[in-house]
Amino acid sequence: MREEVATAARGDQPPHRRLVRFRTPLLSTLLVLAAIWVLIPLLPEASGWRFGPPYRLLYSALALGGGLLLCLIEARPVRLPLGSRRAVASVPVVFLGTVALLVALGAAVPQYERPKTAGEEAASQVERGRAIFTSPNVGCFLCHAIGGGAASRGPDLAGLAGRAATRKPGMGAEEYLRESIANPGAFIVPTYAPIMLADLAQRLSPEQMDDLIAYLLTLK
Amino acid sequence: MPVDLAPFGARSLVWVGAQLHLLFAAFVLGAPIFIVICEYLGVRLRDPRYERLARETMKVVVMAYSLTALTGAFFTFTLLGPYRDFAGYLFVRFYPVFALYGLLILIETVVMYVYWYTWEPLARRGKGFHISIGILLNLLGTVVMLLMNGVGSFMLTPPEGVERASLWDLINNPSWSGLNLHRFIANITFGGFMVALVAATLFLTSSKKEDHAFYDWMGFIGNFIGTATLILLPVAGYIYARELFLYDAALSTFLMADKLSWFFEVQGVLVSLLFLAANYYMWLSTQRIAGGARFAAYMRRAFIAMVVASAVWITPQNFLPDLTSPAPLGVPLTDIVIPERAAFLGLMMAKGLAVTAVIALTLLNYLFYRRALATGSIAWGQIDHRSQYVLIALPALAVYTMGLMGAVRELARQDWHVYRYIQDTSPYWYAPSLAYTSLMLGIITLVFFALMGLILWLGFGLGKAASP
Repeated sequence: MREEVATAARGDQPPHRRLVRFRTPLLSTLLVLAAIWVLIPLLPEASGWRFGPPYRLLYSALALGGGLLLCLIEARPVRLPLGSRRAVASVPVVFLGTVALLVALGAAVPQYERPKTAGEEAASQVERGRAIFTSPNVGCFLCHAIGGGAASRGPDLAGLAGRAATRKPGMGAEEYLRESIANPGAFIVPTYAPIMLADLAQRLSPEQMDDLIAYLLTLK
Repeated sequence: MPVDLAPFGARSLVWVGAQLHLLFAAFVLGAPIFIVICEYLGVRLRDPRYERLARETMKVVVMAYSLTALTGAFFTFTLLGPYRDFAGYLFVRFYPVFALYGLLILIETVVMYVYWYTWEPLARRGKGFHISIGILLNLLGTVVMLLMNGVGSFMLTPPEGVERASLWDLINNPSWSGLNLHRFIANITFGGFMVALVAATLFLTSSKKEDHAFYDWMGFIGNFIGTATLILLPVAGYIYARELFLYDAALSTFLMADKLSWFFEVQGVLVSLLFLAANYYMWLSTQRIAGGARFAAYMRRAFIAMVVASAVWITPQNFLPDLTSPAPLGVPLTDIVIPERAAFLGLMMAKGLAVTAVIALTLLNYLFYRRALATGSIAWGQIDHRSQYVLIALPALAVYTMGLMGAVRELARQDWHVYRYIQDTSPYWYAPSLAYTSLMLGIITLVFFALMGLILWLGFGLGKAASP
């Protein structure tokens, strides 16, 4: 191994010979990338395996990262002149580079910033109700999605206004919704656990309750 | 809000102060555990390297102590202006805790100086007594941590009937034990990686051969302690998350499936990188053992398996930023939601198995290392120099991850100072974006390491320059 180190330090191999050792990781990475960008889009949607472009980008980044790691594993040992200015300067450079990459990663992913005054500035009753629905204070949106797409712990509220009108004989949609918020245990939709907060009505003023119900009644 | 701290904003300054104080506190709490163990091993194994490692690390800890106090003061003063009502509430409810905290800090500081300045006098006779002082220092540090964890965890999981709850009930709130366990282990991990950083910096900047051999070994020990305890952290994290779930299931949804879900995605990437980097260091360590190259093929496969497991870990259920956001205009929902057959990859079961696989593969790589060691000897100081850059990147990753998870814990309270009890009515009640959070964490990480760099320069650089 020490001989290898000495050889690498002299750098007396022609460039193409030095690259040969990276052949396997580079080819493997290219194969994975080809599978991601050529094979997956060819799959029919009904197969249930056709990942969309954001997933393919994520997996490509992983493939490139994995390829880089395998290349680093194959690479010859590095020897620096220890104690030199170059070695001293390399410490903050590597550190800054690592932190910069992490900050860039945080900026690149999907994200959300709640408007500062969502509830207060809403004009109509329905808009105020929607703001209450999405407010972290009340937290309806934590368990209820509208129109699917995201995982939900409570029933999907798409088409709620129609269902609420027929859920209990003799009870109108507004009355039913008011009861469901004030007394969530009165009717539990089958297959869902009784996890809705029991004190929701106490946390809302009567006006806020009206606003919220007005909004829920628009979910047709 | 009585006063804002323009132009940065009160929350940002409190954030920087709190996180910097926590990082220094974690270091001065985590490193002494490591130091006392090393001092004990030095006596037990009669290996002077452990003694030198303990002493050089303690030199850094002594200097870091004053920065812990300074950042603590900065945090307190920035908190008291803009958030004086809430700070006043905490002070009144936890008055005995803060009084005891102050007293213990005072005693701990005295014990720390006694431990440091009696090192030489007790070196020949009285080593056992010196180690006992170190153990006392660690006990005091742990109690200080437990006290402040009581206040911090109370804000997220206050007990039922807060108004009438006793002081013990406030401290022993539903997530106190989980936070204690997680922080105790994480502090040791952090201490290990920080020792590795110190070793790598001194390795690269030193020109003496005997120093290279010692700092190579010191870096190895630091990484070993850091990685060994890192393995326990996902389990401790699970226990903590379970306590939060049992307290209020809506908290878990907010964390894992809603506004903070992408914070956890980034956490998955960070922890994967931590494990991969620690394993890569182990690979480079194995290569410098005579005959270690014969394990290359096995370790290579283990790396590939780790990348695959990481892919499962960070596969999101969708690319939506939260539960209610619609798909961007012109983007079909099917493109940004996980395909039906692969949906299991987005579930906790798959994530748990992936984390377990990463941990098992790390243990496997360590077994390869031990096996190589059984038949060949290590040439200390001859390690591939890339390994030192791994040791520099590891603490950067660790500090950033600590900051990110700290932010997640604070943001989980949503618009509450004390969850569902005292509302945050300041202009900063909302959860900031991940990009803003990342920028804050980048700044905090760099400031922390700039201060640590200053300590290293004062402790080692200046000393070296002054010696003939």
